[in-house]
Amino acid sequence: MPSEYGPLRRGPVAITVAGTRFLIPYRPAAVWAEALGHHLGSLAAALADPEDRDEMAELLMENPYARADLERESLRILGEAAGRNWWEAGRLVNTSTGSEVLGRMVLAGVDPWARTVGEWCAAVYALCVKGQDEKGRVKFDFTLSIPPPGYEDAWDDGGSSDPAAFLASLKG
Amino acid sequence: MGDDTYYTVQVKGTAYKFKPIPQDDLAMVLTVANMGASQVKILKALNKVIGDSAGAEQWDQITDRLIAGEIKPAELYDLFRNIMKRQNEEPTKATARKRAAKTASAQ
Repeated sequence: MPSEYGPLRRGPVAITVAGTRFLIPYRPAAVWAEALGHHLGSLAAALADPEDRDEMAELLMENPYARADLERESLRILGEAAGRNWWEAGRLVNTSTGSEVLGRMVLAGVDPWARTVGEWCAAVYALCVKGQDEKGRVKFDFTLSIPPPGYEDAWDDGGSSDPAAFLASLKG
Repeated sequence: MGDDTYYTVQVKGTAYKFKPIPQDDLAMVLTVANMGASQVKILKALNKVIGDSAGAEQWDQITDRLIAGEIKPAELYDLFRNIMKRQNEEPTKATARKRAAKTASAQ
């Protein structure tokens, strides 16, 4: 479960690929956005230092399980850094690169080179729900929270089987 | 797609036959290329999968031409993309062949 403090962290994060531990240095939101634009499954490698990236490439060539490790770790660090599910973070970052949202963010003084990816996601989220009534906000939260195909099991509904409680949890 | 499937690809005027590249290897090369690894690592990944696909004898010829500068390293990535494209087209062709056979047998 992503930590609520994750969005504020400005430190390195550890990942393990094929049994090898790497430290991914702190990167501002702009770097995450660019890396996410290439390939989500190799996000952690794109954020790594060049030497570590090349070592990861070697592991991918040598170990058939390394690619799955890299993908799993990429999704994990995205979720942890944003303090929300990785697909929500991915959608918010992708939304932020559209000219209208990016323009509003820049005009509001939110600098992607000065903010963590978590802070950036929080700002995009705030912009998206700003001025929306309760219904619009629940709808946006619900749309954002639906996992992509293949990741349905990762959907955390809070363990409740009550639809009303589930909808209420989306507001939280 | 049987074991005898191969694709003929022209590389600077010479035709070579390539076996299909396993999906895991295709994904591995694409991951290495997308993650921003150095050119050397991308070449190494290409070398591994195209070498397997071409077979030892043809790969020897291709590497000789690479060393001689007749084939540029960037063209190796084009070759990889070409093989991948042919592979991706294959299931569509197979479906079309099945449909045509079914239509013919129904007539």
